[in-house]
Amino acid sequence: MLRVIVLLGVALLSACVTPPMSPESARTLKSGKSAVAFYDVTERINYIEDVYLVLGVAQVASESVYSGIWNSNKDLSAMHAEELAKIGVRVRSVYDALSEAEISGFTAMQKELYALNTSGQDTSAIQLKPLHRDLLLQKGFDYLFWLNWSGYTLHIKTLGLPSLETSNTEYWIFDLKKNSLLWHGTIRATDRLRIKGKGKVFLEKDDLSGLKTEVTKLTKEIYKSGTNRGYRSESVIKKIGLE
Amino acid sequence: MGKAVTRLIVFIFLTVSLTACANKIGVRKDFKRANFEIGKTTKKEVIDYLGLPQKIMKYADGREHYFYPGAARLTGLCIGCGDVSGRVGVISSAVSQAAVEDGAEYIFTSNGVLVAKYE
Repeated sequence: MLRVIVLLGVALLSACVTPPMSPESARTLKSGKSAVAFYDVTERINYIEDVYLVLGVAQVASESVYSGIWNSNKDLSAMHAEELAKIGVRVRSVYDALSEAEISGFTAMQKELYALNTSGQDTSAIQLKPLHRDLLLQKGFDYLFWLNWSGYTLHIKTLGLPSLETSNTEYWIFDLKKNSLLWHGTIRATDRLRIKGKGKVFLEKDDLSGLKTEVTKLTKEIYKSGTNRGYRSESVIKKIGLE
Repeated sequence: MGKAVTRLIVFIFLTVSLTACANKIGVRKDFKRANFEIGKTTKKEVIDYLGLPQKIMKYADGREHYFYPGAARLTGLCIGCGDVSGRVGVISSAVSQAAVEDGAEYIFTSNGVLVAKYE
């Protein structure tokens, strides 16, 4: 009976984990030309704070919206393109490859794609529109890294514990020529943080300089090789199989 | 048993009240002290003072509404433990509403100048 329970547990856990690409697929991907598009659906910072109350702990939350204040789609696309290039992917941000009008249409397509994904559709139903796939093919791209995230979350702890910062980035890697999904999964970045100053102020002051610094740091963490990543961060190289 | 329950209810009430009043996460509510001026203060100046808004509404004519809460909302409460996993749905909603009522709204023109404020 115990064996059955263990086997079922293992099967359930492994069903939730996307296996990495085969080394051959990774080699082919690296030899082709890839585009990166980041779609920031949340455009906000999520704050959580634990409040110590002697007999217990309460938790409070708040959000800060940066829609129209920070062009995170462009900056995060560039950030991921830079890190992917460091691990050997021949890559360009769509913001460097497409015109402003093309970007506008591409962003609208990403919005639809995201809505389709969150509507509970099977991942096989998530496909690029022919117009945008053809556009990327015309520009010489073979693959598209389409990324979105749950936003940046800062969890301020109590009792002198260090705060935690987290972001979960969802990767969709499309093979443009075959019109198929090559890999899909989520990669978590988590790190400990000592806050300078009062709560949200340090992230939001000076044109969000603190937020941009922390997001850059978390992004770099997941692209690091080996085991020297931040506290509980996953590895793009290992998880996608881009060895 | 009855006394214990009463004590627990009183404790939860006090905890929620204290948490609701507390200015956590660095959320500011000294809106009036900023003395933002209609027709003069810019979006950037409001952000520099209060931080980012909790909600932004954009209209076709270019106007933007920035909403600031008066407090962070209570989302969890755990008695006798060091971490929060429990949720207090009804109380959470009540506090959230109170925070909104205690907040502020700023309306900007398409060129980012303050045209109305509700504090």
